[in-house]
Amino acid sequence: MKYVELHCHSAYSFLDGASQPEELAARAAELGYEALALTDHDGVYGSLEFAHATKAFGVRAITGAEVTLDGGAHITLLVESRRGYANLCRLLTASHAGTRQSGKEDRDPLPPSVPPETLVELSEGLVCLSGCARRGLGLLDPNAAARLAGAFGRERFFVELQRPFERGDMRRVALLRDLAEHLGVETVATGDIHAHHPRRTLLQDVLVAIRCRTSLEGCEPERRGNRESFLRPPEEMLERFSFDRAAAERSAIIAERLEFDLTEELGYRYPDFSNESEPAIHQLAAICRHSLEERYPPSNSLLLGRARARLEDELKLIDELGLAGFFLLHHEVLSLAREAAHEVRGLDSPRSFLPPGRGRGSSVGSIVCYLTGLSHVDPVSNELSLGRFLNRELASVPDIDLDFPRDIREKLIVAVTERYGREHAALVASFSTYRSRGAIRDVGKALGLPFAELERLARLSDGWDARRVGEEVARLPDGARKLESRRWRAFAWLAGEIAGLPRHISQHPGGMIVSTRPLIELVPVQPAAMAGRQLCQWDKDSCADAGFLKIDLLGLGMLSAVEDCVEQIARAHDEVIDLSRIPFDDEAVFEDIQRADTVGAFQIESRAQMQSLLRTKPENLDDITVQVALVRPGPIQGKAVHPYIDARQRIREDPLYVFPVDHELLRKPLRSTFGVVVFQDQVLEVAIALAGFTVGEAEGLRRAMSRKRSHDALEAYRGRFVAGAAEKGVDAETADRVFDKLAGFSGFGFPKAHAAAFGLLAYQSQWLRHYYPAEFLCALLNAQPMGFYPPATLVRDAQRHGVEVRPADVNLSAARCVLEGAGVRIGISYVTSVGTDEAEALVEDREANGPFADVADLARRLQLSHDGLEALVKGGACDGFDRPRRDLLWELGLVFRAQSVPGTGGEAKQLPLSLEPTTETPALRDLTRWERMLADYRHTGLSVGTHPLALLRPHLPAGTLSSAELQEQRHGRRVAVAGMTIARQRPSTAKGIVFMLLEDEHGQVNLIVQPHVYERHRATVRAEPLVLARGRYERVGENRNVLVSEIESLGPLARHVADNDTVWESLPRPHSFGRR
Amino acid sequence: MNREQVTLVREEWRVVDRWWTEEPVDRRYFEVVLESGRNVCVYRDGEQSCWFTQNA
Repeated sequence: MKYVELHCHSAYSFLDGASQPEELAARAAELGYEALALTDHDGVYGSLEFAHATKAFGVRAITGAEVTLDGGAHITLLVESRRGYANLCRLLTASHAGTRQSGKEDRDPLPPSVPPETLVELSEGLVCLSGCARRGLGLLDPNAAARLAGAFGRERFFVELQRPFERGDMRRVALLRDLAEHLGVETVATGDIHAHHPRRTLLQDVLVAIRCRTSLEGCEPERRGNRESFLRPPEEMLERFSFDRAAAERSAIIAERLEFDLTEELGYRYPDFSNESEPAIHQLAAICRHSLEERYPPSNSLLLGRARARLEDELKLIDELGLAGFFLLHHEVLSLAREAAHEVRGLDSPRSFLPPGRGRGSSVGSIVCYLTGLSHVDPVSNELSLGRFLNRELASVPDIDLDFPRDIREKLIVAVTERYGREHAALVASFSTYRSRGAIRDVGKALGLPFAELERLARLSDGWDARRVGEEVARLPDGARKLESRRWRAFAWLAGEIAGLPRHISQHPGGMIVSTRPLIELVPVQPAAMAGRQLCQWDKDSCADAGFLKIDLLGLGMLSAVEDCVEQIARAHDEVIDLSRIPFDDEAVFEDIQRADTVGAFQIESRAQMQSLLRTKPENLDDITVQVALVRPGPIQGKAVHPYIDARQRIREDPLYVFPVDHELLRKPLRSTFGVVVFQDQVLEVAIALAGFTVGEAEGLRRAMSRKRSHDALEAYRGRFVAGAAEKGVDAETADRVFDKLAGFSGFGFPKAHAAAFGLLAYQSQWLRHYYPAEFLCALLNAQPMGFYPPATLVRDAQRHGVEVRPADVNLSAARCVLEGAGVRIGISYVTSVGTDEAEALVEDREANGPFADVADLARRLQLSHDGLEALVKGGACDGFDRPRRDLLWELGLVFRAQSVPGTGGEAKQLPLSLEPTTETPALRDLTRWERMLADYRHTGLSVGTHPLALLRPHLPAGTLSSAELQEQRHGRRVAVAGMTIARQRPSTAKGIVFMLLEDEHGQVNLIVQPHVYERHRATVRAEPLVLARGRYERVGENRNVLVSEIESLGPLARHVADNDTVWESLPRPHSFGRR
Repeated sequence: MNREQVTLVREEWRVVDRWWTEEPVDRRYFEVVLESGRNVCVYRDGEQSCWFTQNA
């Protein structure tokens, strides 16, 4: 008889398990386990992943959870049957139901727990073990254990024995065996596993420290204190329980009964409208045909005819695939979105012209989506193909992604939950996993390393991969000395071990699951950190594996910005803009785009896009559609970018130019992109045209490319591709070359339909930017965080375009940024330490009781924290009191404010005596320009006044050029430029090259840092906000770059000139992209 | 132990801790009853590879 482990935690016990489910599965197989249970704390977050992983390794997965009862005692529940699984899900849902307090949803959740009575009610199909060695019910409350034993019966209740080699083990085991005898039930041995391998037990110690928010020294009682909690071979476990071998062997007997397989059909169905009197396809057809008459006027009979034919084809296909209910469900969600939009915007809002949301992704190619309102792009006139979205060989339900402004999306999520019921709808979960910065901070704190050194290291590390933290430590100037100590060595190693482990659950950006059968019987559901929202315990991969239909309701910052902008325009100019009716061939807008004057515009604002725009010079919406898709990893790796740009330039010079293609069969499918693959759909079209693939085969190829880029799966397609091409008379060499390009493209590109949807928004945003720059800036600032540039850069760019930007002011600002005449007034909520609610309260008070007279008046009238008040003064929001900031701070310190009476929850206040200061404010030195500028950046994230480079310029080495002077230089000249780093990119497609964008008082400068230069100056390139770069000036066409040979920090100079040590911390962090 | 026979091992536990410091602890403890009836706690120190007694 063998042993089966029935009590095992993975990292999905969140900071109480040090191994991924796959690692446990692989190790179990290696050690010869025939089955293994996963029993994470109060959840089944990793269970489906575990079930699939174990299946792959030939180990049988047992589903379960360690459940906390009211009072804090633990029991172990194991699933015996499908009914048992449904009951476990209901139990876990109940245990989390009270974890978020009403009105305080954003605070840390309370620990989950379930009343024993609920457990008794839902006990069918479950096996109950009496719990772990530390907090098991059998030890903490033997009477309650007795009641559970009675409810479950001796067949399904067992007293759990563990041997963690802690002092007191034997006494505890003896007590538990006595309990079992007294209750007339049997014992079973378990291991309470927290790591798949001995080496991970060290990480388990660290996780306990992180969970307890202390150091390893500080959590000694909570840690296990030895390294025993890892998965051991079954024989060793039998040996360990030699004093009660029957209990150990019973684990295998119980395991045999636990036959439930989570990977099998769970009985999920989405609401498919099949219960209505009329078939779903008829309902859908009626909606589409009615809409078709409205959207395609009879005056254009050719287009109408094409649209009708396309609709009938699509409806036929949808009927064949049985997907009518799927479209009706999305249509219904969109109706809910319209109601949410009315509620958010108000009926007479200028935003009411706008649709509630828009489609993105390949669904934009569907006329049914267009006619049901799920997409806003006409697929017929834009010649968008359907194949990628719907085809006869579709293996799973297609994806429809919908973008909404954030405020509408928030209402919509709650509305969907209410429409289908809280037991039937939930958001998809997402698990925050450890990347380099989180690993550095959490592991370093647990090990008691100095905070300042950890912060320095964290800021140096832009990347995602915590496995490289060790290398970064070694590269520090004092790295070798640090690594002599055990603590730093442990840190370097453990940061790598923790990489990728889930830390906590959060919400997926917008995926929702709706189920006909109660969802809470398929997966536990728990409240989210936002009122009214709830999320299921599975992430998108597990939901997909379970066959759940995910409806993506995504929040798109630019949609929020565009709506805000339309509203600002209506308010300021009494002019209602309907963005679907603006001229889409506006020359002035295209001139801006061709000049790459696009900071803030959707999708075409990045440094790489700008460089490309200068060469492609888009002339219409179709060109922008290509542009949006072109600067993506797929086309870059597929070697499409330069041939496309080259062909475009040549055609501009000679319209009769015939672009080259790898084979003439590709000329037609690649006509719109001059012979190269830019859109995902073209992968399908190329495979069909050149190699005779069916649509389904081509979609299979595309999936093989995008899914983890499996080399073997791709190579399997290569043979079929080359053979198919040969049948069409294409030689093997050409077929191989084309296949290589497709493989390079992989999944990292946009479908054309998606690019068309995004391209349209890109144009609309650029149009608003051109004609309403102040309103556009205002809207962008209100929609942060979004886009490529930090707010400070958006402000500088707008100022260069003549927009006056005024600082936050407690007597003039609204909570958000608003128009003030022709200028923009920064909102109070831009001041750090002042939340949106507090900023709104300030404005409400001012409107109700008049302007604030001075800081004392401000402090007395507001509930704001002292930090918030100080930030208002330091950030310049009180400059309107016409007193120097230091004097204001002094006066603030003398204000007596009402104090909460302890124990009243802030309801009762002790009023201050009205005492005047007995002494005058001393003469304090006013802030220097440097200090004021730094304080602005530090406390509002931006500065509307002097640029740091304007202050630094007189002190720069002779010959240092400004961005304006640089433009006058000739190609190839050696130059020196200085600036503030606003963006830094190290794309994986650029072979180690780093692209930096500097800003000075006149504009921006592009730097190219080659790998050998980067290696010499890593710390400066990655962390310094102010730099001086020397190198060769390169002018190619209209592109201007400095190819850097030397780069140095201007930090020491700035600190010296400013006589201030906070330069580094105060200036805004650049946006960083790509790997390190 | 101390020239006395161990008649019973009442308990065994392990402490592996402070592995992140310059003074890691790796001990295997035994609570034993000697032939004289005396309870003694002894441990084997893995770092120093030797045995110690400790007040029980």
